[in-house]
Amino acid sequence: MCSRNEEEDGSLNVMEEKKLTWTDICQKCSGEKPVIQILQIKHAYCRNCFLSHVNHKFRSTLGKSKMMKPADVVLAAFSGSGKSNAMLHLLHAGLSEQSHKRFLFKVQVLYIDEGAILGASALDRTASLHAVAKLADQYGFHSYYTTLSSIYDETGPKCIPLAQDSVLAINKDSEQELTKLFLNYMSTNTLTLLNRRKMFLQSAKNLNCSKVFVANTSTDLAIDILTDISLGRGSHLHHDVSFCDSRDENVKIMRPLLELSSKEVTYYSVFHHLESVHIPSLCTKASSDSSIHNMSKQFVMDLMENFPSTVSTVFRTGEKLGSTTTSTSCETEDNLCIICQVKLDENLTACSSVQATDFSRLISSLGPSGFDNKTLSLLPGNKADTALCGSSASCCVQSKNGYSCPTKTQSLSLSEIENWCCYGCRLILQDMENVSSLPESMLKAVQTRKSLEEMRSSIKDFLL
Amino acid sequence: MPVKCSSSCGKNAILKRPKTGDALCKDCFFWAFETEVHSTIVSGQLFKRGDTVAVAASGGKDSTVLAYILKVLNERHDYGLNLVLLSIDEGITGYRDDSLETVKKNRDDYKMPLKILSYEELFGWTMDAIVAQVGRKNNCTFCGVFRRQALDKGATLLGVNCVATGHNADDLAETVLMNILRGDIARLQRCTSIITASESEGSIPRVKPLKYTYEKEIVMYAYFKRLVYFSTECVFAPNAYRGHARAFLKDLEKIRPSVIMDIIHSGESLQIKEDVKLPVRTQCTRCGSVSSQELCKACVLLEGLNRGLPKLGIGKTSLAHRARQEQDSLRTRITNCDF
Repeated sequence: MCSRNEEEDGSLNVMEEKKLTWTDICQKCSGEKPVIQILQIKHAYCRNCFLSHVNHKFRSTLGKSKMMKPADVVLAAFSGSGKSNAMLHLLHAGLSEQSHKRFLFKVQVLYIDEGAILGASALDRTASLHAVAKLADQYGFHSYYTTLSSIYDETGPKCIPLAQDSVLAINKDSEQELTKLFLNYMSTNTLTLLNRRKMFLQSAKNLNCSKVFVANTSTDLAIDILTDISLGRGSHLHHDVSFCDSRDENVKIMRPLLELSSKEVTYYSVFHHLESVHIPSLCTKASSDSSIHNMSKQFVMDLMENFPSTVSTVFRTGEKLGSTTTSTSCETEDNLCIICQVKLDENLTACSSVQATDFSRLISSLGPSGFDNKTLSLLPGNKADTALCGSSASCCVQSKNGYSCPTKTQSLSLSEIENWCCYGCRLILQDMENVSSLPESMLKAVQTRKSLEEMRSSIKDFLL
Repeated sequence: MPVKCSSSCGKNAILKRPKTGDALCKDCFFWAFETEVHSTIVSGQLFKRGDTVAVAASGGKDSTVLAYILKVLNERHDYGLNLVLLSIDEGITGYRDDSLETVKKNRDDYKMPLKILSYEELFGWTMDAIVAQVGRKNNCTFCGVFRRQALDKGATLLGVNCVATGHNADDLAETVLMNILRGDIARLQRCTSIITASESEGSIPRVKPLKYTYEKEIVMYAYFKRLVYFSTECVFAPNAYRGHARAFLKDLEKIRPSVIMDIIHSGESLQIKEDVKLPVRTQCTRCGSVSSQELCKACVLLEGLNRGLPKLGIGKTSLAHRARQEQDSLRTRITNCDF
C-alpha cells in the first residue's frame, strides 16, 4: 500500500484544524534573530521583516487601487483606538519617506465624539477629547473633531480644529435627538455605523476632502460580512466590506488596512510602542447576545481558535461579491433608501423571502375566515412599485413650495416610512416603538418623498 | 389571561409563530401553515399538472411533514400530482434501519408507493463499511455525496419529473452561512434557489417546498397533528464544522427571530462580481452525472474506496493524483515481477 498517504493524513482538508509549528529562523531574511512573531501558519517573521511587511501591505493596498491622486486630501478617521493610531502611523511613515516613495496626497484627521449615545458626562468626554488630541498631535496632521449629534444641527455638522485644550462644543437639542433615536432600540450598532458614515461624508465635504480613510482590518470586515448577511443586507454587502465605498459621488470611503488582520495591526502597534485611548462604546462589555454584531464577533473569534483560516476565507468570499447592475441614469435620490442610501431592492420575484414573510404576516392576521384566493394574487410585487425610479423627480424638486402637506410629519406611520427603506433598514424600523423617535430631518425627507410620489401619481397620465 | 388568536377567530391561541411573532390557535395555525406552503408552491411554480413527484423521505420530521402536506395540498387544491416516496438506505446500523421503519409506516398511512435504494446496491459499499475504512472523520462527506447521487439515480429509476426535498428555512440559512465560511462562491449563489438544476441539462430538478418554513413550525405542525417521525442523531459523529454554523444560527435566532428569513433574503439578493471565475458545469466522464470536474465527486470517492485510498477525494486533487499514480506504478511493478 502507498505509505505516503499516511503521512499526509489530516493535513489535507482545508477546514481541518491546524497545529502551529514554531521555526527557529525568520522565514523572510533567514537571519539569526529569533522569531518573535507568527503571522499565519507558515510565516514566522522577525521583528524588522514583520514591520516592513505591514508597511508594504498598507502601501500596496493603496497602490493597487490606483485611486489615489497627488492632489487628494484624505480625511483619516481617528477614534484613538490602536487600529486607527496604527493607520495614522503608517500614513505618517508614508509621508516622511524618501522622495520617490513618498505619498503625495495630504492627510487631515477627524475625531468623532460619540459620548452622547452612551450618556457619558461632559467631563469624561472632554478628557477623551484631550487624550485623542494628544495622540493626534504627534504626527503633525491638521486635526478636527466633531460630535455625532451635530448631524442633527440645523446648520449641519461643524468640524472644529482639534487641540489639546479644545472645549467640547455640545448642542443640547441635537444631543437629545440622537439619544432619542438610540433609546428603546436593540441593535444600535448598525445605527451607529450608519450615522458615523453620514458624519464622515458630511465632514469630508466641509473640509474639502475627497477621500475618507477608516481603519477596518480584515478581521473586522469578516465579522461585518457575517453581520450584514444576518441583518438582511446581503445585496449591499460590498459597500460595507470592499476597499472603496463609492456610494457617495464626491466622497469615497476607503479601508486601507483591509489586507491586514487585527493581529497584525496590534503587533504593529506594540512594536512601535503606539499608545491608544480607550473610549467605551455601545459594544463595550456588552454580552455576545446583546446584538447580532457582537454575536458574529464572538462566533468568528471562537472559530479562529481552531480554524485559523476563517477570517481570510470569509473576507475573500466578501471580496467576490458586488453588484452586477451598474449605476444607471435612474439612480436618483428617489431610488435610494432613506436611512442608508443604498439602492432599493427592485426586482422582487414572486417567490422570495420578503414575499414569504409578508404573506405569513398577512395570513396570520387575517385567519381562514378573512381570506380568499384574491388576496393571494394581490400580494406579490405590490411593494416593488414604490421602488420604481422617478424619472420626473428633477422637475418636481423645483416646485419645492408646492408640496401638499409639508408640515404634518406626525401623520406618518412606520409602514409608510418603510416604503422608502431597504430590507435591512426596515428591520431597524420594526424594532422601534414608534415613529417619534426618528430624527426630524428623516421624517421631513420621507414627507418630501411621499408628496413627490403623490404628485407624480396625480400627473402620471400626462408624463411622457 | 390567555392570549387570543391574532386572526380574531375568537379562540385562545396555543402557540406563537417564530417567524412573525403572531399568536395563533391550533386550527388557524394548521390553516396558515398549509396555505403558506401552498403559496410557495404556486408562486415558485414548483410543479406542473400531471407530474410524478418523488418525496425524498428519510423518516425525519421535515420529510414526514413534507409527505403529509403534499398529500393534503394535492387533494385540496387539485395539483394533479402523482406522489411517490423515495428513500435511501445508507446502511447505518442502529440509525437508518430504524428510520426506514417510519418511512414504511408513512407509506401505509399516506397510501403512497415507496422505493428504497441502498448504497450497497448502488455503490457496493454500506456506510458501516465505509466508516470501517475511513474512520469517524470525514465520513459525512461520503454519505452526503453518495446520497445526492443515489437520489438522482432513484429518481431516474422511478421516472419522476422532480424530487421534493424537506429542506426548511433553517437549513437554508445555515447553508448560506456555511458557504460563506467555506468561501464556496458558486454554491453560495445557487444554494437559495427553490428549484435546482434545470431540466435542459438532463438532470431531474429538485424542489424545496418548505424553503420558507421555520424548523420550529415544522415541529409544531408535526406535534399538533400527531405525525410520527424518527428523531435520532446519526450514530456516526455529526459533521463538526456545520455544527458551529448551526449553533451560531440558533444564537442569532434568540436575538432576533426573523434572522433566518433575513439570511435567506441576503442569500437571494447576493450578487457576484462579473469578473469572478465560477466553475463550469459539465458531465462526469465516468457516470455522466452533473459535475464541475472531469470526474464527479461520487466517482472519485468511490474510486478511492475501491483502491483502498479513501482520502483520494477529500484532499487536494494534486495530492490525490500523485497517490493514484504511485499506486498504479506500484501495481505495474508487481505485475512485472510476476512475469
